[in-house]
Amino acid sequence: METRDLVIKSRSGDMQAFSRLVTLHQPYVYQIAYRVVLSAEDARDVVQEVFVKVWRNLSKYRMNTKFTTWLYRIAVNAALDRMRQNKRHASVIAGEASGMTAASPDPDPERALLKKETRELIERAMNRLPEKRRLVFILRDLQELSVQETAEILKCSEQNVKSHLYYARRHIRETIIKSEGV
Amino acid sequence: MRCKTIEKWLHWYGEGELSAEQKATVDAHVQSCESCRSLLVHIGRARDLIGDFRAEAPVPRDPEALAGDVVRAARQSREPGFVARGLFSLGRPGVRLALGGALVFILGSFFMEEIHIMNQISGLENKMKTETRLPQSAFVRCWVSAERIAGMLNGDSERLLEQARTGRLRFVPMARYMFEFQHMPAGDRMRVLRACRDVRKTVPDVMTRLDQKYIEIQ
Ligand SMILES: [Zn+2]
Repeated sequence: METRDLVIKSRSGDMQAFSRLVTLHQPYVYQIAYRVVLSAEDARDVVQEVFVKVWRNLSKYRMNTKFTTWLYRIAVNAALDRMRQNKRHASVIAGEASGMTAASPDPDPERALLKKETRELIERAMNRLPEKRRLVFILRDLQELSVQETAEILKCSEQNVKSHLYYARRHIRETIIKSEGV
Repeated sequence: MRCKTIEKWLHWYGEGELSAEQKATVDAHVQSCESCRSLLVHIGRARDLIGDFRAEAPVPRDPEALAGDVVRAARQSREPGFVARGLFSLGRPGVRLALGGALVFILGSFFMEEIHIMNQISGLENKMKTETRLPQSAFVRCWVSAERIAGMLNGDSERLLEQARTGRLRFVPMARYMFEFQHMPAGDRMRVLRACRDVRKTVPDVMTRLDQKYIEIQ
C-alpha cells in the first residue's frame, strides 16, 4: 500500500495503517535521528517522539506537501531538540553510553577497524559543525536528499543550503586531512 | 581565474552542479595549478570517506521492538492525559493527593514510603506549576512518572529491571526517565529538566536507590 493511502487511513484512526506507516518510514527517521544526536538510545527516543507527534498531528498535515518532507521536518526538529538538551545538560546525561549498530558488521577485522575510525573521525568533525551546517550535511550528503528537498525541510533557500554545504564539507575535509597528516 | 573561485567550484565538481563552461575552466586551471590539483585530490578522498560513512547507515537494534513501542506510545498518547486531567481538575492539592493515594492503592502498592514520595511529588507539582507556569501536559507526565516510581519500588521493579537489562527501557538518566517529557515543546522541556534537578534534591532517597539498582545491573 502506498504511503498516501496509509496516511489517509491513519488519519481516520486506523491503527493498523499507522503501524504500517511506522514500519515503512522508521528506518529513515532513525537514520536522521541517529546522525543528529549520535546516540543509539537517544535516537530511539527521538523516533518514538516523532511518530507520536505524527499520530497526533496527522489531521494538520496537508496532502499537497510530500509526506516525507513533513515527516523529516518533524524528525529533524525533534532530534535537534534532543541534541540541544544533551549539550546544555551534559552533566545530566553523563555516563550514557553511545552505541551504534551497523547494518552488517564487517567480518574482516581490519576493515571493520578502518570503518570504525572513519566513523569516529567524521562524527567528531560533525560534532563541531554549527547546527545548520550539520543538518544540511546530514540531509544532503548522508541521507542523500536533493538540495531542494533539504531546503524545504529546513525552510530555507536552496542557495542557503549550498552555502552551508560548502562550509560543512570544507570543515570535514580539513578534519580528515589533518587526521591523515597530509 | 583566481584559486579562490576555483576552490568553490571544486566542491561541486562531479556533482552535476557546474556548467560545462565552469567545468572546462576548472579542468584547465587544475592542469597548471599544483595547489588546486592537490585540493581536488583531497576533496575526492573526503568524498570517498563520507561515502563509506554514509554506507554504514545506522540501524536500531531490534527494529520490530522499536516499531512496537512507537505504535504503543502513539496509541497511549491520549490515555494518561485523560486520567490525570481528571485528577488535576479536582483542584485542591489535598484532594489530588488523596486520589493519588487511592490510585496507588488500586495499583497494589500502598506503602508508607510511596505515600511519602507521592506527597513530595505532589508538593513539587505545585511548586513547578506556580514557578514554571508549565502547561497541564507537563504535570500529566509528572504524575505518570510518580506512578511509575511508586511501581518500581514495589513489585514492578523486577519487570522494569528486566526491561532495562534488555534495553527496552532506559534507566539512565533517571531524571529524564522520570518525566516523560519527550512530547513537550522544547522550551517546556528545558524547564522540566531544571525541575528534575529539584526532584533529585527533593527525593534523594528514591534517586539513590534507583541509581544503585542501575549500578547493580550494569
Ligand atoms: Zn589554483
